[in-house]
Amino acid sequence: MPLEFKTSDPLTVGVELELMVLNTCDHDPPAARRTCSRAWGRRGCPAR
Amino acid sequence: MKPEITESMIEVNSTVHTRFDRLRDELVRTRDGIVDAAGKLNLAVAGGGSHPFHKWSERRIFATERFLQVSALYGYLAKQFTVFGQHIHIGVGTGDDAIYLTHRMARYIPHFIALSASSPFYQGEDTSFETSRLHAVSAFPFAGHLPEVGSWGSSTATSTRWPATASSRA
Repeated sequence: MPLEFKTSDPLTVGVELELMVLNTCDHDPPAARRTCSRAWGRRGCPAR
Repeated sequence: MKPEITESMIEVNSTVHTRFDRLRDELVRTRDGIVDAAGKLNLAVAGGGSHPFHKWSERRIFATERFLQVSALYGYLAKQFTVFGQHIHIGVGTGDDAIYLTHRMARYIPHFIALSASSPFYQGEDTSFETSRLHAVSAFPFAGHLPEVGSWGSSTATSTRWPATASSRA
C-alpha cells in the first residue's frame, strides 16, 4: 500500500517491486494455457 | 522482502543507492535469491500489472495489523488491490524540492502509464485497456495527482485534514 514518507539523502534512488506469488503445486499449466490463449485469441497479437 | 496486502503478493525493497549499476546488481541478486527460495516452496514469482485470470474474491489478506485495518476499512477493494508494479523513490534535498519535482513530472504521467502498461486482462477477460491495474488503484482516495499545493508546508497542512476522513486512517 502506498503513501509513506521517509527522509533520504539527495540524489539517491531506491526501487520497490510488488510481485505476484504463484502456487505452482496445484497449478494446472494446460488449463492456464487455454485460458491465456482464449484471452489472447480474442485480442489478437499486439501490433509491432 | 516483506508481505503485501494479500498473500498473493510480496514486496521487495532495494537499499538506497547513488549509482544505477549498483542498484541493478542488488536487484539481480535479490531476484535470483527470491526465485531460488520460492522454487523450494513450490512457488513462482512474477512481475506484471495484474494476474490475467485470478479471482479477486479468492485472495487472502495477509494478517498484519495494518493490512487487517485496511481490509476492514476498504472491504473488497483491499482484495482487488492484488496488482503489481514498481515504485522508484528519488531522494531530493528538501520537501519543497519534492513538491516541485512531483508537479514538474506530472505532465509525463501518461508516458509512464504507457511504458508500464501490462495488465490487459482481468479475471480472464479482455478489459480492452492495456492497463486495467490503474482502475484497481484509482479506487483508493490517495490515488491520482498531487493536489495543487505549492510547498511541503502546504502539503502537510493538506494532509493534516485527512485524518478527519475515514479513508485517511488507512
